[in-house]
Amino acid sequence: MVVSLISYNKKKLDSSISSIQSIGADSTSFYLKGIKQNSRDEIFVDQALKKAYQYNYKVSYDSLKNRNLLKIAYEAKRFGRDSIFVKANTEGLLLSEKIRDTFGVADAQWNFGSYYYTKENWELSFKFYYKAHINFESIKHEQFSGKMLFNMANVQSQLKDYTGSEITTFQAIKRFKKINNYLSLYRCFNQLGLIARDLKEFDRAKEYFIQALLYLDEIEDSDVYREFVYNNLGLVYQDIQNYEAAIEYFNIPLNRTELKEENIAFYARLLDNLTYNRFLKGEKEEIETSFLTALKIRDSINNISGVIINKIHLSEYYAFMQDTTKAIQFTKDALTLSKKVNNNREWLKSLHWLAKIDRANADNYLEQYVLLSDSLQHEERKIRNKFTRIQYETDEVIKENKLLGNKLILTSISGLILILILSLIYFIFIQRSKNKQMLLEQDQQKANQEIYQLMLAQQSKLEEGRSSERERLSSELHDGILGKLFGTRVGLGFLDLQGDAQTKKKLQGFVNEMQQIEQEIRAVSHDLQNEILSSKIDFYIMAKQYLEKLCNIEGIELIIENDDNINWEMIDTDYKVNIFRVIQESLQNTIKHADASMINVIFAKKQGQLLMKIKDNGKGFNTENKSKGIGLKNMALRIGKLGGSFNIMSKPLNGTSIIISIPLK
Amino acid sequence: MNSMNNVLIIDDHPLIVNAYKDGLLHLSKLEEALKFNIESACDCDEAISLILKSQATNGYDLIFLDIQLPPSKDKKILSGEDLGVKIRKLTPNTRIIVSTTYTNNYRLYNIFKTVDPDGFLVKTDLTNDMLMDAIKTVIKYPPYYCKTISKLIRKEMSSKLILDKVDRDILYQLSIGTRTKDLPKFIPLSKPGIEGRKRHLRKIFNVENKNDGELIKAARNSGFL
Repeated sequence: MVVSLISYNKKKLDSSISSIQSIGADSTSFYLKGIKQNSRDEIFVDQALKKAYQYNYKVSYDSLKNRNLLKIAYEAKRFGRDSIFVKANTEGLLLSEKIRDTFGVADAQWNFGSYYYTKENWELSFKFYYKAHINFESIKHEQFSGKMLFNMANVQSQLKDYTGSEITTFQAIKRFKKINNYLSLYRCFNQLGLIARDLKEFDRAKEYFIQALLYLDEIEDSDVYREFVYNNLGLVYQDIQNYEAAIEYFNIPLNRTELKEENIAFYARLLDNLTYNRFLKGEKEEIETSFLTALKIRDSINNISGVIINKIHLSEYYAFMQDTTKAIQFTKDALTLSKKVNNNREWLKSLHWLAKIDRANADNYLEQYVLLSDSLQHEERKIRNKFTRIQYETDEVIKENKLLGNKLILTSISGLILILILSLIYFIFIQRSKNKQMLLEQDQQKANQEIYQLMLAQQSKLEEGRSSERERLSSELHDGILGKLFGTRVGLGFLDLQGDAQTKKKLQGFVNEMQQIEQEIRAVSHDLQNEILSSKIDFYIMAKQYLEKLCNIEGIELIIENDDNINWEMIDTDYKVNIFRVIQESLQNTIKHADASMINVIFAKKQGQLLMKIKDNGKGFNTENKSKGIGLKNMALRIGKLGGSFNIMSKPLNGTSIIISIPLK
Repeated sequence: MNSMNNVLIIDDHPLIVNAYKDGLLHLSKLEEALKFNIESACDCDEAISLILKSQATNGYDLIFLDIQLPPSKDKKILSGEDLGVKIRKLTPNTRIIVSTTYTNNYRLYNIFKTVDPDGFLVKTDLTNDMLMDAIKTVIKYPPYYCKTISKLIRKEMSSKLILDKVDRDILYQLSIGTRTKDLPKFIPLSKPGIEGRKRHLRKIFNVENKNDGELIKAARNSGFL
C-alpha cells in the first residue's frame, strides 16, 4: 500500500518534471505552486521541496534565486522539513545580504525566528525576530515590523518576562494602529490579556480581552477569533472564582454545533474548561464523563499539553471524591508527560498538586518543586538578561552600520560635488574654447577678406601701371605722331612740285597712303583706350588669372567659362572671398591628389542662384569611403555659412566635380 | 568780297601750322579774290595776346583752332575748347575752324555745345581738297562740317534718347575708367544721386543688371561716346 502510494507519487512527480523541463527556469516556482495545491500529500511535499531546492541552483538571476530560496525555506518550515529549511534559509539570508535586499534579509531572519520559536530556543528566536524587526523598520514596513515586535513579545511572555512582553506588545500596537490592522491589534490585546492574567491582574485582563473583541468588530468572519477570546475571558472569571460567568463564556462557542468539526482540539479544551468550572462551582452531574470525553478526544489527536491539564483536572475531581489512588495516578501520569515534553508549567503544577494529595511523599515532591522552580526561574532570568544584551548588541551593530552609512553618504555627496565642480569647470573650459574658436574664425574671416582686398589692390595697381602706360602710348600716338603726320601730309599735298603728271599722281598716292596710316594709328590708339576700359578689375578676371597662373605651372589645361549675366561688382565681397577660397582649395586638391590633365571651371547664374562647377578629369576617389578631409569640410562650411549648398561628386578613375550654389541677395 | 582776310592759326605743331599756311596760300593762288594775312600762335597765351591786340583793328576774320593745346600759364585755359569759348567772348564776329584729332563723340559734342565752330574738321578725315573747300565755305557760307561731324549730327538728331549734360558726363567719366565712388569729384551730384542717374542710364540703354562696361559699350554704339 505504502509502496504503491510512493510509486504513484513518483509518477505524478515525473510527469510534473517533464512538463517543468519545458518551462525551464520556472521549475522551482512550479514545485512551490504544487506544494500549495497538494499540501496534504506529505510525500509529494517532501519530494517537491527537494526538487525545488535543486532546480533553484540553475537560476542565474540573483534576485529571483533569492526570492525562491526564501519561499522554499518558508514552505519547509511550514511542513517541518528542518534540514531543507536551514539550508535554504541560510543561503537566502546570505544572498539577500550580498545583493543588499533588506526585505529579503528581514524575511529570512523572520523565518529563523519562528523556526527557533518552534524549537523553543528562545534566545535565538528573540535575536532573529529583533533583527528582522530592525530591518523591516529601516525599510518602513510597519506591518511586518509590528509583527516582529508581536513575536518578540510572545517569546518574552514564554519566559515570564511579563513587563518586557507588555512593553514590546505596546510598541507593536503603535505600528498596527498607524496602518489600522485590526486583526493584528486583536492579537496584541489578546496577548496583553493573557499577560495580565499571568500577572494576576484580572480586571486589566478583562479590559484587554474586551478591547480585543472590539477590534474584532471591525473585521468580517471574526467568529473563530472571538471564540478564543471567550475561552480566555472564561479562564479569567475562573481565576476570580466567578464560575457562573466563566461557564457562560465557555458555553457560547460550545453551543455552536459546527465547532466540533472545525476545531476538535479547541472543542476538547472548552469542554474541559467548562467541566472544571462546573466542578468548582459544586455541580456533580456528568463531571467525570465530561472530563473523560475531553481527555479521550485530546488523547486521540495527541494533544499532549491538553492531556496533561485534563489529567490534573480529573485528579482534582477524584481527590474531591476521596478516590486518592486514582487522583495520585492521574497526576503522576501528568507529571511523566510534562517531563517528557518539557512542559515546565504543568510539571510544576503536577508536583505542587502531588505534594498536596500524596501525603506520604509530600516532602519529596515539595523539594522537587522548589528545585525545579528555582532552576527554571534562574534559567528564565538568565535568558531575559540576554534579551537586553541582544537588543543592545544589535543596536550597536546598527549604529555602526548607520555610521558607516553616514560616512558612505558623506563620501558620495562629496564625490558628487566634486563631479559637479569638475563638470562645471569642463563646461566653462569648453565654452571658453568655443568662444576662442569663434573669435579665431572671425579673425580668419577678416584676414581672408583682407587678403582678398590686398589681392584686388595688387591686381589693380598692376592694372593701373599697365593702363597708364597704355594711356601714354595712346596719347603719344594720337596727339604727337598723328598730328605730325597730318601736318606732313597736308604740307606735302600743297607742295608745288615741278614734275610730270605721273610723278604728281604718285605723290597723291603717297599722300593718300599716309592718310591711311593715320587712320590705322588712330585705330591703334583707340584700341589702347578701349582696353583701359575693359581691363577694369573684377572677380572673374582675378579668378581667371589665378587659375591660369597655377594651371600653367602645373601643365593642366584650363577651360573657364563666365556668365555675362553675373554682375560681379554687385556681389558681396564676403561671397567672393569664400568662392575664391573654394577655388583655391579645390585647385590645390586637384594638383596634389587628382593627377589631372584638365580642369573646367564654370560660373553661371540661374534663378537667383550663383552656381560654380569645378571639374577635373583626375583619378577621383570614393566619396563614401573616405572620411572627409579638413579641406572639404572647410569648403562645405564656408558655403554653408553663406546659406548655399556644397556638393562633391567623384568616383574612382572618373574625375571629381565640385558644385556650389549660393542664393544671391 | 575782295578784301584782306586776317587769319590766325593756333596749333602747337609747326608742321601743321605750315600745312595750313600752304593751304591758304594755295587757295589765294587759285582764287584771286581771296587774300590772307596769316599769323600763327603755338600756345594759348600767345594766341590770347594776339587776339587781344587784334581787337584794336576789328579782330581776326578766321581762326584755325586746335583742341589739343598746352594749357595757359595761369591754368585758366586748359585746351583749345576753352580758348574757343574765350575767342567767342572777345571777338564774336570771328569765324572759327576747329580742327582736331579727336574722334570721341562726347568731346566733339561738347565742343559743339560750347564753341559752336563755323568749320569743324577732324584731322584724319581731312584731305587737301577738303581743306580748300572748308576754308572757302567758312568764309563765304558757313558752316562746314567734315564727314565724322556730319555723322555725329545725324545720329544725335535721329536718336530717340535724350541725355542731358550730367548723363553724358557720367558716361564719359565711366568710359575713361573713373570708379563710381570717385564720380562725385567730377560730377556736381551726390553719390546716391549719381547711382540714380546710372540706374536710369542702364534702363535707357537696356542694360539693366549689367556692369558699367556693358553700359559704355551701349552708349558708344548709340553715339554718345
